[in-house]
Amino acid sequence: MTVSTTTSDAKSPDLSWLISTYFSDPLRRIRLRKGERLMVQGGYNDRLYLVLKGVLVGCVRAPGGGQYELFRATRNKFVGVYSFFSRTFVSSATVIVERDAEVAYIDQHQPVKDPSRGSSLFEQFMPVVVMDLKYRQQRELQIAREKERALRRLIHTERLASLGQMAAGIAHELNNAVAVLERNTEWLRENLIRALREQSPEQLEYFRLGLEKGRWQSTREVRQQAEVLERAYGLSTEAAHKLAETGLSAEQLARYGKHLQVVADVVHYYWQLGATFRDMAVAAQHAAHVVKSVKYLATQETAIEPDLDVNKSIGEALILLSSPLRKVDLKLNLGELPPIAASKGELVQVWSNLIRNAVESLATDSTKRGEVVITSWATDEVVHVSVQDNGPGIPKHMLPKIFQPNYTTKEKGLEFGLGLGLTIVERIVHNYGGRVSVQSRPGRTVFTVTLPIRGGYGEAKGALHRRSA
Amino acid sequence: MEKLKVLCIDDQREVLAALRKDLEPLAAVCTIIECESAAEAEEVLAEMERRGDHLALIICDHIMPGKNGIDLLAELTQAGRFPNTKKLLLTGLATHEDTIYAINEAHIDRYVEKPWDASQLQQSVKILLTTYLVRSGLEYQPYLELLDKASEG
Repeated sequence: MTVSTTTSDAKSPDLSWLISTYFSDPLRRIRLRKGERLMVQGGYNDRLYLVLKGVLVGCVRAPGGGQYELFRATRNKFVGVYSFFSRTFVSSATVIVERDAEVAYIDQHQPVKDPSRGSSLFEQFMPVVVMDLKYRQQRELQIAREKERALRRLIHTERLASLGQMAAGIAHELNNAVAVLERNTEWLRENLIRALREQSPEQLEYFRLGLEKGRWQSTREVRQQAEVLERAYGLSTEAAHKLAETGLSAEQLARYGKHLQVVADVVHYYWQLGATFRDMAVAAQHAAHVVKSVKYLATQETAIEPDLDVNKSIGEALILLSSPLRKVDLKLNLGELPPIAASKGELVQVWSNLIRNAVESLATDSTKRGEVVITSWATDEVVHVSVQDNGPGIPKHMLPKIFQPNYTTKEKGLEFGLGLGLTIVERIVHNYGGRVSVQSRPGRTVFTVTLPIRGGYGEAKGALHRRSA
Repeated sequence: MEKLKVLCIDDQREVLAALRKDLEPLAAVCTIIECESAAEAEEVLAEMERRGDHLALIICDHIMPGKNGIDLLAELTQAGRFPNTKKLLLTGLATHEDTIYAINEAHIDRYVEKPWDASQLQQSVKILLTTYLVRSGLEYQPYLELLDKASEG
């Protein structure tokens, strides 16, 4: 680190008199080469040096080993002030030449010149001594502050590391629980389908409708459709609402004629069974995504595929996010891409975090229809993927911070607002030798990920199949 | 007998659906209306006000994109709208401050944590609906069978 100082600086007229009077003797000059030592901590020094050019660095042994920089002297700065004026003639620091230097000096036998300006050298050099003291004090303060900062960083890192370890444990437990729920849900679903197929094929149709399309209409659309059905068929409010929820159109329902009021319960019941299975699958996927994100904090196993189709990994991320994506208009402009060497799991993480962020930024603005545009294209050596949204944008002052861990713009932990998403994105992309950039203004925020096709992770770092975060 | 209205607000459709299922045993006395956001709920509330519906209960999620549940309920309370309507807050994670604010400013009647227990939720809803009936001076005989005989304050 460099320290700018005003210390021992010969700016004032007083010092320029001192310099010209005491340090212009051409016989008392030394040229020093880089790496040379001017004095050694604890060694003898009865000289006061003035740096004419070059850079000298003063170091002291730190308690417990190592060294730390005490000062840095450039042109017109004094070195040896303490040993010279304290009259102990013991050097307080080791002074090493950092850049070829030239110094002028006086020694303890130096007679006082022009006594009208002060009866002793000490009196005449008082400003230099005071400034040197001040400099040392500032320096100590700065070192203390740096230490404190380093300590705080360390504590933070340790906290994240232990969080990561805990996360790995929790992730393991949750994965087991989610897996049991997921597998058994599927078993129940398949058995139910088989039973329905044998016993009531017509109901199976409603079950499948719920299972495949789920609750695709908004609550507002359901209410509006219910009113339409209520009027058109003279249904009770309840029956109309139930039928509206299934998403069956008035035309599809027409075949029941005047029995509609009666069949509403049955139609809705089987549709609801299907929709419930779908809800459970979506919830399990969501839980799995959360677990995966948390797990990424600790360690992760990544299998690198030599010929990965990036567009396919985007497709997987979209499946993972099918539930939140229902609320926005999604546009895909996927270009033709060459395969790259990458881990599919990692890329899916990158895309799903970016897309999730885009969708959530849109959720904060209910005034207009949200739109997410995902574009991929390739140029010479790289693959680009951009995720764009028409949300409110990221305020300028937040932009530099968004990749930091624990930083979230989401209100009070909305969804999975640990603020790890972008940190994960950056870490993964960085590991591939790629980069993430962001441009944001209200109504248009674009995150662009650039991944090298060759010479990236796969080739540059060898075929590592496991690494720690 | 006019059915009581229960307004459920949650940004997750799956949660709304689960709520509706759990409240199915009370379908004979109340109608459930679902909303996906506070903004949508405000539209529905305005419409109910216009029609003079008996809105007995609002079940509201805490954390939603846009306006959160507590703020929505606090605004209703402060504006003196639906004074007899009971309020139940469903929450995934609530801090101490949220809780204090919910009780003091939004006059929440019940606080239920996600994931909830179906029978406890039904019990809470029964008590709240009964309280609403008593407070709003409606003829409560027709509802008696399904509601709780005990009521709050």
